[in-house]
Amino acid sequence: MEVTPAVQIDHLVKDFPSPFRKSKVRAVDDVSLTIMPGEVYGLIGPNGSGKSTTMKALLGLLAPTAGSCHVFGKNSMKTDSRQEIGFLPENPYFYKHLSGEETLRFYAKLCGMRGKEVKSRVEEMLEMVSLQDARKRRLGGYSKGMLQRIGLAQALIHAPRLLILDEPTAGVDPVGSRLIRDLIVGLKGRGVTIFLCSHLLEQVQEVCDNVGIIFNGKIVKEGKLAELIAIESQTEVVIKNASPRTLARIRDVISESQSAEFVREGKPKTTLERIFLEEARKSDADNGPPPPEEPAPPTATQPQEKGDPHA
Amino acid sequence: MRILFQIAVILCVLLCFGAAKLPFEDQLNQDMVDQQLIQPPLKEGTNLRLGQTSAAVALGGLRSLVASIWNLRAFLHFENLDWIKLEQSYEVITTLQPQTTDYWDTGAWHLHTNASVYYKENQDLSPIRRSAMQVKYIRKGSAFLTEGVTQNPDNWRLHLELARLWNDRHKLPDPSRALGHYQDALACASLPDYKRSQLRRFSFYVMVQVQGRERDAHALGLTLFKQSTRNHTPNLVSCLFALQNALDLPESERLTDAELFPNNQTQLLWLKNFWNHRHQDYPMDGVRRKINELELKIQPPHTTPVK
Amino acid sequence: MRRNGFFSPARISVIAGHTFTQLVRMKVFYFLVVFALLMLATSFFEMPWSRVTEDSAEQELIILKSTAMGAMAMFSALFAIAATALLIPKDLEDRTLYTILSKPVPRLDYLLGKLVGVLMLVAVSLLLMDALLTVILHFRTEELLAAEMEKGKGLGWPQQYLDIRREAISQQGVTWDLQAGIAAIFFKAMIMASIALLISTFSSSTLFTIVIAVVIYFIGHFTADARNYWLHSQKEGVSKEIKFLSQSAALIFPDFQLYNVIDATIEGKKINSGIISRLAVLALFYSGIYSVLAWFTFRKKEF
Repeated sequence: MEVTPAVQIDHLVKDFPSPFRKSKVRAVDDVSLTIMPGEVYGLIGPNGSGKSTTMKALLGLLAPTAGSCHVFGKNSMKTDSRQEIGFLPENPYFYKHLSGEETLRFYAKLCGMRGKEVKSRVEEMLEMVSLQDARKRRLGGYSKGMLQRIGLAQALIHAPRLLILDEPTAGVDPVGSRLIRDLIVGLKGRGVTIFLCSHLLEQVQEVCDNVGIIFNGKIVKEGKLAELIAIESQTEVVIKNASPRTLARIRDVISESQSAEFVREGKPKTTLERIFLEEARKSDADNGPPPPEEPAPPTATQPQEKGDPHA
Repeated sequence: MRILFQIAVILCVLLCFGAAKLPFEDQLNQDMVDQQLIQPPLKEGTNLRLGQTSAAVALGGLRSLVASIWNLRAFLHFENLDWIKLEQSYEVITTLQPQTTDYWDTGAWHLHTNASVYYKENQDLSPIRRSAMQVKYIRKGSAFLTEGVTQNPDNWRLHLELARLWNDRHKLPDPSRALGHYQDALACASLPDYKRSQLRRFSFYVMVQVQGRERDAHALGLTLFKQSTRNHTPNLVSCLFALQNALDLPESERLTDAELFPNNQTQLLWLKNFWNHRHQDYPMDGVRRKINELELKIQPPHTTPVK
Repeated sequence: MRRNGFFSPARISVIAGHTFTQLVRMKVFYFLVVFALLMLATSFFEMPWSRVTEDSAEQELIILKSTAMGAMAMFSALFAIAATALLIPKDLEDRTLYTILSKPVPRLDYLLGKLVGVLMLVAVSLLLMDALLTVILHFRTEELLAAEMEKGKGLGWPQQYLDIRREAISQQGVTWDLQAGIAAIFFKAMIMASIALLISTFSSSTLFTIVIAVVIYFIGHFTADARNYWLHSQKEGVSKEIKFLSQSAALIFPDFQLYNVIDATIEGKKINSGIISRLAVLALFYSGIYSVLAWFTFRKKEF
């Protein structure tokens, strides 16, 4: 049996009328992409490259000038297609007059849930995004990171099979950003298909299986992330506690080889993000409850996987 | 382009549905005008200015509120004795609520009573000017009520106000004009039955004062007298008594004193009161003679006789 | 998987309920405090301008009613226009519209939900104001009635006159006819809200929507004149342009003058149920048409 793609965009074209000229502005030009169920797909590109337009077309907020978008086989211009979609817009502003809990209840009911189902689902979502304490507070008093998390909860309230995220961590501090990243990874583990738009390359790099790069409305490069970013001709080896002698021997081995060539040697650098996160964690441990679970900080940059990392 | 297309479609749809609703709306409008629930569109023959009318129409539902506020303002003008602004205010108020009797009534009252008395007693003016202004404002008040009557032909209270105004002996009494207004009031379908006999009595009193209508007045008075004992008021009975004398009716057509008056004492009292009105245009034929006669009959001569 | 019908009363009520909460939390009900103060002031106010006429009791009640009903009419019309004109652009500006429309929500449901929400608020505020008016009017009527009866008995009026006076004063008090007038206020607000909804689906600014809606409100009060001019005018030599203009005005705009029956109810006239139900039918007809047209432009609108 053939699997229905979670997202299928075929030759999507979107023109916008230009207010002062007769010609139209083409925001998306013949974009095609397919996301299979369970994949995490990152669409990256600079501002104004057509990322958001593609997303809106997929959500049925815009009608394609040409081409089509399908979600689990349903045309995205049909209301039913949105039953399977959870969407978190960029910089979401929800109704400031509602509390976190009320917001989730509202969206749950919009999706057709009733009674107990609403209650249990809202509980579940609040727990998932760790906002139980802020449930009664109005969204007007939420921080940016909290808004983004309630946004994510809202997007997932009806247990959609596809999650569309538009710049999910824009403007969020590294701790909040990490929290959201972990949520995404968790969802991926549960088999949710994720379509992510971002210009924060590092973020995309951390979570995505597949990546598309869009420039001026055209997909310029697409493929598996690991394949895209690997430098095919090079191999990185990271060694702990190596003595100068060991290193000299390794260099010798390389020079003995016919084709291999020694390129460089040095100390791996950790990222600023990691140092920041580690410090934040330490001060939290001194002052109060620990932050949500963090993956153990590695002592060095993670080597880029190539094929099987254990090989 | 798309928006123009949409607007065109919207207009087309509205036109089509408009054609469907038109007869329904027209019929409803007709029925509501018939039941006096809304005003008929732009009445002709009234001297309303178009601008005012437009404003009044468009204020739908707010008219009464705006009228109340203007009414308050008019009261301030009254306190400041600013009669010109007061008159303008009432024009606006009655344009807004032409069917509210009280506004016509009060506006006219301010003009024909308050303003005219103010000028009558204004020592800064020359006597000629004083009386000219007094008359002018009485006429303004009358004209205001007449406009109200034009717009509410079936409003008996406005006709009655006009009748009272022209019957007022402190103003410009004109019994024949007052009589006309009483008759208009009596012709109103809206006049409640319990008011009818009272108004007929009033019309009798003014008819009595109109020169040359004595015979009609007698006929009316007689009808009223025979109709109900409620009509046996001192004034009506005394008028009838005097009219019989004035017309010099033969005995067969007369009502005797015993039929007219409950007893001699009452007859004396009523006729003496009636005599006090002798400076008005009531007929007084035989009244003085009868008073003297009765006094001799029931009162000892040492009591003070009527002068 | 859930089926998502084109039109779902349950979903409409969710959006309507939410819109209602949103408006309540925008503190519109403060208006009611103003209204209550106004009512109290009016009911304690002895009319200084009114000399004693035959029916001063009735006139006093009319002033009380006209103040209350005028405030109710003004509030509901302004509110219906402003709130409807404001809500959709606000959703778009805050991007909350994205999160709603990216859920399985048909656009018609969204529009109707907003409209119903605004109307719910108008209805609830009218009911509250109505309740207050009813209470104050009741006590004021009883008070004036008692005074009138005492005066009448003092003057020795027969029972028949007393009954007539009693009936005349009661007719200016709390009656079903007055409630019919309040219903007419609601119908007017209902039509205005759906007009504002229609305009807001293609206008690009809230101000534009409000201005156009207010203009239509005024034009709507002359529809009756235009229609009369067209259907019943006997005048000869009317220019073609004027004829065309009056015809299209009569067809396109609703006739708001019909709803000026409010003024008649203030004056204590009797309204038969046939009239009020015909007004209700007309109001539903207009709101229906305008909502469907609003959906027509909103259906393919891009965000």
